[in-house]
Amino acid sequence: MKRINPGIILVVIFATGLLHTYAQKDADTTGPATTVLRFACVSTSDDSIQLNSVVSVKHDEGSTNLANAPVIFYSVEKNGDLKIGEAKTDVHGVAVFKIPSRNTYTRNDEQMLSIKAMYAGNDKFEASEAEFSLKPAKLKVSFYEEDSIRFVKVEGTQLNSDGSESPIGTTNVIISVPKMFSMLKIAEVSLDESGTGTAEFPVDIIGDSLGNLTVVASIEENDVFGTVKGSADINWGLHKRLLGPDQPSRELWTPVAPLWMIITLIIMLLGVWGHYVYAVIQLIMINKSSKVSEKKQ
Amino acid sequence: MSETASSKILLREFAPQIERTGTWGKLWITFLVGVVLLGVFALYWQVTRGHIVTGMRDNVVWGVYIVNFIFFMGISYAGALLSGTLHLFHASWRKPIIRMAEFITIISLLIGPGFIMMCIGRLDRLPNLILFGRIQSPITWDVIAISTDIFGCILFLYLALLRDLAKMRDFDELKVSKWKKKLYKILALGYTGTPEQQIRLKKSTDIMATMVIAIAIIVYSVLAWIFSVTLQPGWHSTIFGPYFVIAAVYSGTGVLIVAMYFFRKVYHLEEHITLTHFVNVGVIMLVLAAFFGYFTFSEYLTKWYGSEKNDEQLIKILFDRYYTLFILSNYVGVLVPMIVVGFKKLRTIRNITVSAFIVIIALWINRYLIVVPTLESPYLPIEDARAAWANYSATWVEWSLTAGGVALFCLLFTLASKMIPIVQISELKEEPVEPGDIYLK
Repeated sequence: MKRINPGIILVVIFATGLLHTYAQKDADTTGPATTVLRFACVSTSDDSIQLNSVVSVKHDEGSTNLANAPVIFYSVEKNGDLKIGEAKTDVHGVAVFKIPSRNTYTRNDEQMLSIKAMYAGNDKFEASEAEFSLKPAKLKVSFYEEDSIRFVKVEGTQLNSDGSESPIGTTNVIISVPKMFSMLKIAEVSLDESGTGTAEFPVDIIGDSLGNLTVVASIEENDVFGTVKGSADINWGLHKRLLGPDQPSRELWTPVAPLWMIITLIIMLLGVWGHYVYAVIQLIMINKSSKVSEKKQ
Repeated sequence: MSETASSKILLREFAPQIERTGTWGKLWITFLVGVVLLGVFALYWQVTRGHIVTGMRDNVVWGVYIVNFIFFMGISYAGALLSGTLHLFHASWRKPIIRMAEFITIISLLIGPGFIMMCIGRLDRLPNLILFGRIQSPITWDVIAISTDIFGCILFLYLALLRDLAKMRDFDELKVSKWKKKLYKILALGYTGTPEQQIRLKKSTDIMATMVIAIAIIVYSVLAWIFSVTLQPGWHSTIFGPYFVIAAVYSGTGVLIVAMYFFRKVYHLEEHITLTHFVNVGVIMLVLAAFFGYFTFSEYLTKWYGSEKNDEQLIKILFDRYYTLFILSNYVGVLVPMIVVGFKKLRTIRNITVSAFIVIIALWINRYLIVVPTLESPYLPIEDARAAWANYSATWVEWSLTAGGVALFCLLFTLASKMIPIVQISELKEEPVEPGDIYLK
């Protein structure tokens, strides 16, 4: 029987293997994926409107946020869309762009601004867009004390197209303080006709080590104003006591390693290096014994 | 025949290899030096221009450098495990090949860590690893483990060489330069084979043989844990430690067989390294092939069956874009040695060597498939999906440095064989020289 030369098999295997190493194909291209753009505007206390958009990709298991996607913002006007600006999404799929509350973009008959966010898409991802209308507004937060009772005062104003300001009117405002994972609601006030509302400030809110707190007043997803936020700082919080550093915890992520880890490492290293030392000592003894026998001779 | 007499015969046989280098030998060394210089130039290119000259980018931050690192460290541990095990079990056939296993251990251990340095963008920050290293970090474990391993393996090799160094010191017919003679004298530590010296040498060699086996397993497991403790698809696996150890010994066995084949041819060792040696090491390779196949199957089956989103995506990539490499690595690389060594008719020196060579290539690809496809499967799709960002392809710089590393391995192996006989000269058991001397098995 004629034998097949193993060298030939080897060459064939090599050729197929190496070719594949070099010729890596580009990413899978099975049509563009559907994208979804969520868009909302927030009026903030620094006299600006924050345009927030989130772009995500839909797939069988749900959706994943799309990073590095350019989102273009337009003012929707009678004579056509007017480009406001552009921002790229971050790793969470969020693109943010700020415009001043007092701007020259044309408003509709109800004095509302219409803003559109658009992702143009590409070969891999479909285009998507969303529109949001709002009337610019502002919330001002202030504090006062009366008969040893502390109060937080909120004043809401809306910005008219002619540049004037007028009270927001009857609207519910949530007052909260930011904590580690979410906003802690401390009160809910209803603004009166003059756009003003007050609430008693709780005495048991923990601030930082000096008692400083940021108090946020917000109107959430209002039909006219969208989301409006205003904030101010005050040192009315309880002083946070830091944990004593004399007994730092031993965790995977702390500067000091868990005890079991240190003990295991020491045992292993002592065991291994102990044997090395023993072997080296034996070598030294071999050398010494040769010198002794040389002297004897 | 007495031990001294048989050693002298062997020394006379191997003296020409140590005394002079033929034309082919010089050409071979020149070629290797050339390839090493190409690697040095590529390193200069990379250091002066930065990592942009490599294929490594934001997504695939590790490429062929880390693959080479794992590969060289693997064959090093394999050499340690094989030489340690053969020594402890007193395998009578080990004598002609044990020196090669020891050389493989040391040389690859010196080259492997060099590749990890090439992955580091800011080498000037390397001392921070020692200054601010945290015990909780697997990178710190690796630094401790590799440095411990290097010291242990050098010590073991030295102990194994001591008797041969003494014999070469005492062999007057050896015509080598004075510095070489002086080096033999210094390194031989005055060993003359007295009963006391025999006992001390045997004790320390036995202890170090045990230690190198234990360390090889621990160190390669630590290397595997660098991957498996991370939450990445394809890496976060509990069997990665033993899987890496088996893969390491498997690839190292392949390297040993190929080294046996070439040294047998070049130094005409047909009388010493016979088919029996190839079959014996081949059988070890067969057993390891079965274990490697089992671990690979277990690893991918559980991932595929679990249908976890990212694992599923990874397996899809492996069976799509990397299909040929996957088959070559995990099917051809397992089945070929099993068939060649398993069937008596196929057990020829050439067939076993070819299958060993396939194992080496398959295991290198196996490491490539562990590293690259996982890094090419990001959790977030990148919108601007340029191929250079999402996919990895090694550049000429990386291939040149890889070739340089392989050439340096061959060069050091060749130079080592020019210093010390590639086959152990001293007998595996020493006979009493004088009445009253002890006899060591």
